Amino acid sequence: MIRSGLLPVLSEQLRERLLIAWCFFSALLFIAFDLSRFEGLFSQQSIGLGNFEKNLLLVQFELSCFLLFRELQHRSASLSFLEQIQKVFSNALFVLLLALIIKTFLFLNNRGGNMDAIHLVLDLIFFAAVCLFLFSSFFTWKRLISYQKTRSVARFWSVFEWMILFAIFFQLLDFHFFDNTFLLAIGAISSLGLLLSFNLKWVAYLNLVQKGQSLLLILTAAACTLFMYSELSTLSSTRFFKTIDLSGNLVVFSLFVFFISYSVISLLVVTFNLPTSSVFEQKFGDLLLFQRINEVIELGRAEKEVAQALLEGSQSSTASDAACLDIFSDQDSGIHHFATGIDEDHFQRIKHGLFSTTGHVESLYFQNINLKKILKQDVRQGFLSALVIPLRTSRSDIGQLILLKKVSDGFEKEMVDLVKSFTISGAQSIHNTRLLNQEKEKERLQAQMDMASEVQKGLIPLSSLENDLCSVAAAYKSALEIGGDYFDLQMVGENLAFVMGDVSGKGASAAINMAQMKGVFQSLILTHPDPASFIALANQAIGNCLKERSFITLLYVYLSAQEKNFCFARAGHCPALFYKSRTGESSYLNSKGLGLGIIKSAGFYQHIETPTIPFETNDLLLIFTDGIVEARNTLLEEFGYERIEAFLVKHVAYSVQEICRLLQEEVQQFTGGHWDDDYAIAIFRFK
Amino acid sequence: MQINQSKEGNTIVLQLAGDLDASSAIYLDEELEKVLAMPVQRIFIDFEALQYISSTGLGVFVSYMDRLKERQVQMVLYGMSAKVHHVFSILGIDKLLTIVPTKDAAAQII
Repeated sequence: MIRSGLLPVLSEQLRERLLIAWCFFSALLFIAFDLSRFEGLFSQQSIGLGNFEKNLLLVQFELSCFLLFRELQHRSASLSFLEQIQKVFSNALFVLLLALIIKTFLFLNNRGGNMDAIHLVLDLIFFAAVCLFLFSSFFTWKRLISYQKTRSVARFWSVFEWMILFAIFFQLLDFHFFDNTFLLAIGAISSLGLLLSFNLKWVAYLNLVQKGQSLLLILTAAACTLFMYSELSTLSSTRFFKTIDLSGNLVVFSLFVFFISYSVISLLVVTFNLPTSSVFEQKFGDLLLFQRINEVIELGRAEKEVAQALLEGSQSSTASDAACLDIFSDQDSGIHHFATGIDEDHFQRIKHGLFSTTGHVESLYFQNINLKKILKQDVRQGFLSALVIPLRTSRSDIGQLILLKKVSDGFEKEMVDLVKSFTISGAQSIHNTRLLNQEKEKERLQAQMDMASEVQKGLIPLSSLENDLCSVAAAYKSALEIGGDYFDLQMVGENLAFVMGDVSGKGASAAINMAQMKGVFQSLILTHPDPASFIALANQAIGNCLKERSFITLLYVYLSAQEKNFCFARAGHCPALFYKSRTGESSYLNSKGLGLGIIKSAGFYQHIETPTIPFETNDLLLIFTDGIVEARNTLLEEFGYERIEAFLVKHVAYSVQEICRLLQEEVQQFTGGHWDDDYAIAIFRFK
Repeated sequence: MQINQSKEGNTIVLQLAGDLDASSAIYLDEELEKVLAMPVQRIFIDFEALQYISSTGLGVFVSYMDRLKERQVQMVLYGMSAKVHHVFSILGIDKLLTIVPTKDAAAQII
C-alpha cells in the first residue's frame, strides 16, 4: 500500500495544501504548455517541446490529482453511505454543468480566429475537471468497497491502487489504444476493478428510502459520467490537434471503466435488495433496541425503566400482539406487572390457564406454544401462540416474559434467540440495579451504625477517675458497632454512684435500651440514690421500655465517703468481686437479686437485697459483665468466676489501670483471640 | 445443642443436650413455640445432658414466663448441674421458675 509515505514528515494540513497547490499549478502548466504549442504551431515556430514533454506534464497533473484525493479521502470518513454517494452525484452534476456552460459559450461565440485558443483552454479545463471528478470518485468508491473489508479485499485494493499509479506513468510510453500492451493493461485493470466492484456490503445498511435515493443518485451520476466520456472522446477524435487523446490515456480510461462498472453493479445490487429491505430494517431495529437496552443497563436505571425497555423491545422485535412482563420483587413475594397490548385481567387469565394446564412452568420456557391446544376459546380470546421466557440471572429467575400473537406458530427460532438475549441483558441489568441498591442500603446502615457507635461512646464515661474516695479504671467493648453493655458513674455530693448493666441480646435494640438505662440512672440518682429505692424505681422505669423478651441485669453501687462503706443492689448481674487488702481475702458479693424487667409488678422489691459493706484503704472492688465470665476458649471452657478471682489476687499490687488492661489481655489470651462478646469492666481501689 | 421432644400423657418433655448459648437459644425458642401451639398442660425440661448455659440461653426462659402463666401451663426444670443452676440463680430467676433436682421430683408436683 502506498501509505502516506510520501512527504511523511509534513503535517497533514501542510501536506494537503501542498498537494492542492501542486495540482492547481500542474493543471495551469499543462494548459499553458498546450497553449504555447498551439500558438507555436500557428506561428510555425517550434519551441522544441514535443509529445513527451506534454505527456510528462499530463502525468504530473494526474499524479497530483491522485495524491491529493488520496490525502483527502479520510475527510469523508464521517459521512454516511448516502452522503458519500451524494458527493459523487454533486461532483458529476458540477462537471456536467461545466461542460454545458463551455458548450453554450463556444456555440454562442463560434466565430473562428482566436477563438480556437480559447476553445482549447476551455476543453483543457473541462478535461481537468473530469480528471478531478474521476479521481475523487475513485476514492469515494474505495471507501464504499472497503466497508467491512476482508484482508483479501484490502490486498486487492492495494494492488489496484498501484495499478492506477502505474497507469498514470504508462502514458509516458506513448502507447495507443489498439496496441496489445495497452489492451493488456486496460484488461488487467478493468478485471481487477470489476472484481472489487462486487464489494457492496454497505447496501445492506440502507433502509428502503435510502436505497431508492442512492439508486437515483448513482443512476444520474453514471449518466453524467457517460456523457463526460462521450464529450471527451468527441474532443479527442474531432480536434485536429490531439491535446486530449483519450485513446492513449490509460488512467482516465481505466477510471471511467471502473466508475461505470461499480455504478452498474451497485445499481443492480441495490435494485435486487429493495424487496428484502424490510427484513434488514427489522434487524436494524432489533440492533437499536438492543443498544437501547444496553444503554439503560449501563446507566443503572430504575427497574421500571429496564422492564419497560425490555417489554417494548421484545414486543416490537417479535411483532407480538401483546407482551407481559412479571418481575419478582427481591424484597417481598410481590410481583410487578408490566403489559402492553392486553389488559391485566385478561393476561392473568391466560397466564393462569397456561401454567395450570401444563403444571411445570419450566417446560414451557422457550417453546413456541400453541394456545389453541391448551386454552379454551373464551380464555385465549384471539391469541393463538405464546412464548414464555424467564428472566435469568446467575443466581435465580427474577421474572418472566410472556409474548402473545394472534397468529399460530408465530415465534421462529431467531426471534426466540433474540428475545432470549434481550432478557439476559434485561435480567442482568435488573440484578445489577438491585445489587447496587442493596449496596447503597448497606452503606447507609453502616453510616447510621457508625453514627450510633459515636453516640454510644459519648454515653460511656471516661475510662478512669481519681478522687478522694477512690481510683477507678474501666473498659468497655461491644462486639458490634453498638452494644448492650453499660456502665456509668456520677458523684452525688461527696458520695459516688456507680452502675454497670447488661441488656439481653445484642445490637441496635440492646443499644437503645442501654441508652434508656443511662437516662434512668442519671435522673434517679438525683432523687433516689439509695440502692433499694434506685433499683425498684429503675425496674419500674425500664420495665416499661423493654420488649417482652428482654431484660437488663444491673449492679448498682453507692459509695458513702462519710461512712466509709458502700451499699449495693444486684439486679441479676454478675456479682462483684471484693478484695480485702488487710486480710488478703477475696469474695464475690452474692446477694439476692433479680434482673430488671423480668417482673414488672411491685413485687420485684422482695427479690432484692441491699447489703452494706465497709471498706478500708486499698480494698479493691471488681465489677464486670458476663462477657468476661462467659468468654470461652477453644475447648469451650468458660473463663469463669474462679479465674477472675485468681487473676485479681495475683494482681492486687498493680494500679487499677494496669489491672483493667491486664484482665482484658488475660481473657483475650484465654480465648485464643475468639473473644467477640460485649463486655465491660470497672475496678475500684478505695482510699 | 440437641433438643429431644417426647410426650408422656399430658406432659411434653424437652430433653436438652449440649450447649445452650447465643447461637442455639433460637432453637429452644422455636421448640417452645411449637410446644405452646399444642394443647399442653405441663412442660418438663430435662437439663440432665445440658453442659452449658449462657445468659442468652436464660433469656429464652425469661421470655416464656409470662405466657406460660397466662396459658396456665406448668413448666418444670430438672436435672440441672450445679454450674447451670448457678447461672439461673445469678439472674435470680431460680426463684421464679420451678426447678427441682430430678424427674421423679418433677412428676410429684401437681
